[in-house]
Amino acid sequence: MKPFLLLFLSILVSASGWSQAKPGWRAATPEELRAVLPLRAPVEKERIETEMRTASGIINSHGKVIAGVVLITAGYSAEGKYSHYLLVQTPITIADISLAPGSYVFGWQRAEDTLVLKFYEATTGTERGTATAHQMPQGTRVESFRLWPPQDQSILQIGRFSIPYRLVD
Amino acid sequence: MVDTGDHSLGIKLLEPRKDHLVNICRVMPRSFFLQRLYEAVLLCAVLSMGRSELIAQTPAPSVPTQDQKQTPAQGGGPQTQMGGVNTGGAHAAVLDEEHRPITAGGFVKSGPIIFQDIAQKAGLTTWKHTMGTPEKRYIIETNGSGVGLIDYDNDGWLDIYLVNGSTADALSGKAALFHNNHDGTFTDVAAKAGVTNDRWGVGVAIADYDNDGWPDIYVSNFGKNRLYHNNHDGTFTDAAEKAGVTLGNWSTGATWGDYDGDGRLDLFVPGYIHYDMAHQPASSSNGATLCQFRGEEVMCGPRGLKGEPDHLFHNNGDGTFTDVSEKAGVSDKNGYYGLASLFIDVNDDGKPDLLVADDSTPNYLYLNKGDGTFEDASYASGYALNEMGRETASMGIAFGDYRNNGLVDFYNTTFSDDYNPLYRNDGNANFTDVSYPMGIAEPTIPFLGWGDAFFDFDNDGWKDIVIANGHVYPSVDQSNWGTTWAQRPLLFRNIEGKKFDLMPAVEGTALANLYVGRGLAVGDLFNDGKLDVVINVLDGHPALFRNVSTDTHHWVELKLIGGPKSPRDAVGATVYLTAGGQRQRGDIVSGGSYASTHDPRLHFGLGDATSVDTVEVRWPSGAKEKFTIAKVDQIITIVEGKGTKQ
Repeated sequence: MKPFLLLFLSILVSASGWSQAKPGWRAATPEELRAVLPLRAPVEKERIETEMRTASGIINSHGKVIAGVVLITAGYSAEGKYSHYLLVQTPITIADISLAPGSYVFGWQRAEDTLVLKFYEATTGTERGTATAHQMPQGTRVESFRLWPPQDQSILQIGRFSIPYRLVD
Repeated sequence: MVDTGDHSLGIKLLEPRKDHLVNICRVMPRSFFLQRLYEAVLLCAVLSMGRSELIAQTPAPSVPTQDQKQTPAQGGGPQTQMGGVNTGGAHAAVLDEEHRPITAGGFVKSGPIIFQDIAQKAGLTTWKHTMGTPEKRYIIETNGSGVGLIDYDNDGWLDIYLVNGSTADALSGKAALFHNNHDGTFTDVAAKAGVTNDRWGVGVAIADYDNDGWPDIYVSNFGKNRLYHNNHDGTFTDAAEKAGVTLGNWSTGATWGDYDGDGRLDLFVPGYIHYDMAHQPASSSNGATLCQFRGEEVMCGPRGLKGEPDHLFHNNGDGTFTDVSEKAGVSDKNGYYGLASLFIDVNDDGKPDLLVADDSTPNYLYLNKGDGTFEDASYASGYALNEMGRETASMGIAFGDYRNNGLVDFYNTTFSDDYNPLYRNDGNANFTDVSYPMGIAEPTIPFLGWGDAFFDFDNDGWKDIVIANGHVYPSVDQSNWGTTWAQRPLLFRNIEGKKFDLMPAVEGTALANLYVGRGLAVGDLFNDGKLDVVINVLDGHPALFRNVSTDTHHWVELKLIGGPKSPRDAVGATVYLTAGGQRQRGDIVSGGSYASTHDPRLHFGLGDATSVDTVEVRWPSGAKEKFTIAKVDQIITIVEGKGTKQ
């Protein structure tokens, strides 16, 4: 019996470790997204309208949300740099860019077969880093923006491009 | 490549309200004082008008120019609300050597002569399109109208139906029906035929809805739509009221298709904006500019205006139709701004599926489930958005198998500062936007596209692309944005399905002419085996591009007649023609492009092949037949049930 018991305990510990790394994250509901995302995102000196039907995010068991939404008029306001608003209530690392709780914006530029994303602090416009989103497999559902729950896949999807993320807590 | 000047102005939003009460949303000027002052001005202006529309304002970046060079798609570029359209970010102007925007320049002295605009010689310039005022203060004045190619008298020669707009005072534009005189000229017989429409016309979808062997005309309007039933004697009778397909607000590019397989063509009519002529959404009030594009005042919409629903009408077979939009699941509950639609089988299951090109909102792709309902596969298929996940201001739909692999692909036209996405069919209703890898994205960015088509202009066996272009804001001519009100059409030559080459705009040819293009239809107007192009020009005379390509390739054209279980005009049939080692696909449809209908006959370029190996037809009834063709370079009629069963 001992080997089986050890195996069982081992699985239990592993599962426990997994759940600690990703404590109860799930996709946020539209209502939860509307409650935290602004209709007009404060971006530097502007307040840029958001397209709420494109909102997507995740929420944990403590009610902390990480969510994003497409910015309308982004092409012409704020120097045309920004396409999406991102609200971070618990630390997240997107590719190699660590984002503390706060609000951010990012924009992209198309490269040969990738999107090059630049992240900025929303209120100051301070650049926080650059990351590359890669094409997803052929036939993937297209999304304006989607932050997938970690138990599904830890990626941030824009159109048919994706970029990995890690939750720090 | 945009300026770093003041960007302190934000957005103002006035929600649509029928009672004309307005709901002022905040703006964010650079200081508290300016903010309050600005809000006060806006509040007074708007309340004094009692208007109801969404209004956006953003700062005006000045865009530096660069010769023959273009910045890549900028991501910051998703949806912009200025002027109320979704388009990409501000791209640097592309100028030619004479510093003209590339949309009205880039001409070359010599090169292949492919199209000549013979509209005047052909007699088409006796008619002129009119839609509102030249200033285009309102969106209703800007979208123009479509064109339909129809052999209304069954004489074997294509005639041309041109939809007209109107003026706000008259609300009674006169459409034209140009009868083909078989000698290169046309005569307007619209009045005699009884198809002048006399309403604010938008689109035309042509099909034989009652299976009597004579094509009928559905005209979508702002106002009640028309269903012109062909009387077989050169005249038509409007049967829309009796049929129950008038609707009454702003209908756009309709499409016919037998979605339930009963052998009778059903009708889908997209809706654009629910519009009120008595309370039009003007862009300024009491000196305050409310709707802007790149900082310049423009007309408002479509964003912020209430979307008009879409409608699917089931053909009851007795001259009447039943609205089954809700039941079928295609009623557009989201209120997206539909401009073009197309029944076509995208997943090769023998049932027509449905595409809707939506302006500034996601496109629809509905898969036909075969039980009278549709599955919304817009996002899953990839057709809803472009590759970068951005909603586009879709205007027109081109359809065609550009790779000759048996799968039908789509090419949508969009706004300026955006590229036209080419949706490659990967099978099983999966589409991939391949415009950038195909090299077809960047050349289209400064252009605002409308009607479009896949067609084989040089009969080499590969489907090329033609696009009608023209802006919606006349004021772009006073800007340095690199786009223009009147624009040249674009022609891309298909290089064996691997890439597309932009054909040069040779001076003295139609490709170097400027038009405010809108509806576009392709067909062999002169029965010479070369495909010609007709464009309905906003506030102008139509264009007739006669194909004068000097290629000596062979061709064949097929007119299909359906049997008792198929629509008589075979709308919904798919043909696979094998010749010269290529297996090409053709689809008989009604609709697509922008508010237009192409030649109902299928055209196949054969290259140097002098014979056709096989013609396989999948009829709307589900029957599959093979036919043989003894001789190329001719127009052949194929009748269901007369071939070899497969």
